[in-house]
Amino acid sequence: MSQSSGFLSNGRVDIGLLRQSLRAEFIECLTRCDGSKAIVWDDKLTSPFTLVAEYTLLKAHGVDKMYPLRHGALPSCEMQHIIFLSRPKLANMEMIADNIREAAKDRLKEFSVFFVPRKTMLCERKLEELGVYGNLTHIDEYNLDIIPFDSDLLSLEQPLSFRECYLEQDYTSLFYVARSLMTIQALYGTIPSLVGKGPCSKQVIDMILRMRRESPSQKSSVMPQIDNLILLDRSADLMTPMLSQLTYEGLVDEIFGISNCSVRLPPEKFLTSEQEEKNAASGIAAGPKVLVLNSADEMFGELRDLNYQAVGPLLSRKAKRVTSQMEERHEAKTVRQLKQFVNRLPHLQSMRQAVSTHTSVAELIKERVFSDDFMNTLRAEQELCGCVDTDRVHPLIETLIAKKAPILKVLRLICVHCMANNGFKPKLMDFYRREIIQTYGFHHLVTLDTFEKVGLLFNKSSTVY
Amino acid sequence: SVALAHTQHQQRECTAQWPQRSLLRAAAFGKCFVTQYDPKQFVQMCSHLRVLNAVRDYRVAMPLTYAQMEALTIPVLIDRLVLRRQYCLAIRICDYLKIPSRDGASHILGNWACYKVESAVDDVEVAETIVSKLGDTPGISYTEIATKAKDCGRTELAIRLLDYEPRSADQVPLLMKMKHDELALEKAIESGDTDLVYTVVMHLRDNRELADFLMFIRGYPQAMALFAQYCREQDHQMMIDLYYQDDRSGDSANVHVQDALRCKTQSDMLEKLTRAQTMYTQAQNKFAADMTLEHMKLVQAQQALQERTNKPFIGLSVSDTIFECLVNDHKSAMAERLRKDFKVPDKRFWWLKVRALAETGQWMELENFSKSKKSPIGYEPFVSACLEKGSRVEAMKYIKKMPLEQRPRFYMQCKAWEQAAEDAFATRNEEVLDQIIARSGGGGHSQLHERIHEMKMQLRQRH
Repeated sequence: MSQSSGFLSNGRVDIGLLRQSLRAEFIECLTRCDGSKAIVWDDKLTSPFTLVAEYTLLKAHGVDKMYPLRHGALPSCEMQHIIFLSRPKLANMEMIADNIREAAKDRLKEFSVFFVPRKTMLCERKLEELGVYGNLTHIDEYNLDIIPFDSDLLSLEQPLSFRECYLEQDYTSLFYVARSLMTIQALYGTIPSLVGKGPCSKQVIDMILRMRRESPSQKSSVMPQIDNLILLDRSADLMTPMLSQLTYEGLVDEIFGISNCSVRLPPEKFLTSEQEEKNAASGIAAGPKVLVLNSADEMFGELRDLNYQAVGPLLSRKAKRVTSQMEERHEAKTVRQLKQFVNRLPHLQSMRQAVSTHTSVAELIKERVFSDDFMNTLRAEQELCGCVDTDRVHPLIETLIAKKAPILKVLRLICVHCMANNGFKPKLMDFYRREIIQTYGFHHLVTLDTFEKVGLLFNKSSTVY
Repeated sequence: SVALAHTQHQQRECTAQWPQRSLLRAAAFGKCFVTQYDPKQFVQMCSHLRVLNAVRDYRVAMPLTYAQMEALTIPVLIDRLVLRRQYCLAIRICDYLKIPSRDGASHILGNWACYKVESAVDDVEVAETIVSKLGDTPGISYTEIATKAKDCGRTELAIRLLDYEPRSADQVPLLMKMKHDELALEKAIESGDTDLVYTVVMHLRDNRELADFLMFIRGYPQAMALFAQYCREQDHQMMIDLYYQDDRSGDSANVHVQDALRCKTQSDMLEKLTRAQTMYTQAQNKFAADMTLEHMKLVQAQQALQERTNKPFIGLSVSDTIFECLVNDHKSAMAERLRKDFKVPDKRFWWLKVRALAETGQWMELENFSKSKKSPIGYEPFVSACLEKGSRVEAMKYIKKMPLEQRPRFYMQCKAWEQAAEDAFATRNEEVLDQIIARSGGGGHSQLHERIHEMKMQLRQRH
C-alpha cells in the first residue's frame, strides 16, 4: 500500500524520523545483495512491513518477485539472489532449509537470510544442523524491532510476549523492548528520567542502564526530546483488556478486528449502486472492504476515542457542515471567491467521503451494539465491576456456558468476575472450571491451569484486609 | 610578519645557544604588530614546542627536531612513547593536545594495563590498580586485557578483570573459553540477553553428560526456563525428562494430557491419562486428578456409544455428548445416566434438552417438557429456541408463562404487536409502548399506532 506518511510527523516527537531510519536500514540490507532479487517472506512479517516500506520501494531496489515462506520447494524463478526475511523461529529454519535444498541445484543462485529483529545463535545452529548454512552468502539481521503505527504510537508487534514472559519465563521480548528504546534514544536523545511499575519494567530498566554502560560512545549529541520514560507491566492491570471496549475505535476492533492499522469490513454498506448492479449481474460477491485507520484520516482522528454514543451526533454535525460549505459555491460572486472555493474543493470532497464511510461503519457497529447479546454482556460487566453480589455464580456467565457461547467471551467474563471479587472461593472456582471443561472439552483443563499460572484466575487468599 | 616567520623558523632549530624563551618573547612581541594575525599558528607552535621539550628530557631521551616530529606525526610519537612504557607522559600529552580519548587515552591505558598484567606479581593488587586507573573510561575493552592475562596463564586475574567488562557479549565467550561455565552462565543471565544464555546452555549441553548437565542447570532457574522453552519446540522427550527430573509433576501431567488427546488409539490415550492422573495427585492438584478420571470414564462411555450407534462421539465434551444423545432420542436413558454420572447441574441439562428438542422440531415434546415441572431456567430459553428455528407460533406459547413485565419484549420479537401493547399497558410501561411503535415500523399498523396513542393518553391521565 502506498500511502503518504506525513501524518507521522504531526505528534510532539517526529516519528517520521524513525520510519526513515528503518527504511534506510532495509535498503542498505537489500543493496548488500547482488543481482536481481526475490524475497521469501515470513507470514507474520508482511503486515508490519507494509507500515515501513511499500512494494514500489522494493521494486526500485531490484526486488522482482515475492513468495511466502512455506515447506517444500520454491516455485522456480530466474532471480539470482533469493533473500529470506524471517523471525528467529526454529520452525521457520526448517522451511528455509527445504527451500534452499531444492533451489541450490541451480548453481548460479545465491541465498541470504535476514533475521528480523535479531539473529540468534539457536537459529544459526539449526541451519548448520540442517546442512544449509554453507549455502548462505549473508546471514544477518534487520533491526525492525519497533514499528511506527501512528504519530503517537509505536509497536513491537510481539503478540506472544505476555505468554512468554509470564508463563514460560522467557524474557527475550523484554530484551527487544530495551534494545528498541536504545534505538529511540539514539534518534531522539537520551531520556533522563526512567520510571516503571512491575517486575518486567524493572528488568527492562536494568537492561537499558546496562546497555548505556556497554556503549557509552553512543551518547548522542541530540538534545533529548523526551523527558520521561514510564514503563507499565501488563500485569499491573489485567482487568481492563477483559472488559468490552466502548470507544469507536475499540468497538471496530472488538467486532471486526484491527490489524496493523487496517480493518476488513463486510462490503454491503460501502458499494455504490452501480457496483451493486454489476455484482448482481455477474453473480460475483464483493470482497471485503479494507479500511486504513490512522491519524492520516482526519475524521477518524476525531472519532476514534469518543464513546460510541457520541459518534452519531458528531458525524451528523460534520455532515451538515460539509454540505453547507459545499453550498457556498452558489454564493461565490467574484472570480477570486470562486477560485478560493475551487482550492478548498478537494478537501471538502475528501471530508464528505470520510463522513460517509464512517457513517457506514458506525451503522455496522450500531447493529451489534444494540443487540440483546451485547447489552447483556455490558450489563453483566458493569454489575461485576460494581462488586455487587460477586461471591456467587453470575447468572449471565452460567447461561452463556449453557448456551455454549464462544469460549473467549465466557473466559473474559470469568476473569472479570475473579478480579472484581479478588479471587474465587474454592467452591466457585471448581464450579466454573467444571462447567467449562464439561461444556467445551477436556483440553481446557490445561487452558485453565495456564490462566491460573499467569494470574488471570486465582483463589481467594485467606488474608482479610 | 617576516620577522615573525623568521623567529619561528629559528625556534625550530633552536639549540642551547638560542634559548627558546627569548625567541618566543620576540615572536609574541612581534605578533602584536601584525594586523589580522591568526593566533592559531602561534598557539599550535607553542604546544608542539612544549611536547618536544618534554620528550627531549633526559629521562625520556628522545631528541627530536621539529622537522622530525612533523614527519613522524603526533599519533606515531604517542605510540613510540607507549612502546617505551612512558605511559604517563603519553596520556598527559594526549590530554594537552586534546586528542579524542578513543585514539588517545583509552588506547594508552589499554596498553599500560596489558603491560601491568605481564609484569606485576600479585593478582588482586594488579587488578585493583588497573581498575582504579581505568575506571569506567569509555572505549576500554577489559576483554582484551583479560585475554592477555589469560594468555600469560593468569586466569584468576583474567576473571577479576572480566568482572569489569560491561559488554556481556564479549565477557561471556571469554569466560567459556576459560572453562568457567558457572560464571559465564551467571553473567549471561545477568545481562538479560537470552541469546547469550542459550549460547552458554547449548555449549554446556554439548560438552557434558546429559544427567550432569540437567543437574547443573537446575541451579539456574532462568536458564532452565529457557532450555525448557527450547525443548518444548524441538525435543519433546527431553522436555518430559526435564520435568520429571525437576519434580514438576503439574507440568508433566499437563504434557501427558496434551499428548493423550493427540493419541490415535483409545488404549494409548487411557494409558497416558492414567499417568497424568497419578502426576496430578502427586502435585496435590485434586481437581485436575478428579477431572482426568472423569474424562477417562467419558471416553469409555463414548466408545460404547460409538459402537452402538455408529455415530462419532469421541472428542466431544460432556455437554455435547448429552446433546447428541438427546437429539437422537429425547428420552435417551444414556443422557440421563451421563447426567447423573457427571453431576450435570439442572440448569445446564434443561438448556441442552430445550436446544435438542428445538433442533429436531419436536414441539409437542418441548411443550410436555415445559409442563413437567417448574423450569429452573425460566421460559426465555424456550422462546429463543423456538424463534431460532423460525417457529413464532410455538414461541408464543411460552411467552404466556413468563412474568408480565418481561412479555412485551418477547412479543415484539415475535412481531405480535397487539399482545405486546396490551401487556405493556397493563404494566404501565410507556417506554415499551414507544418501542413498539418504533419497531413495528410503517404501513399496515396505523390502527395499532392509534390504539397505542390512546393507551399512552390514558396512562398519563391516571397520573
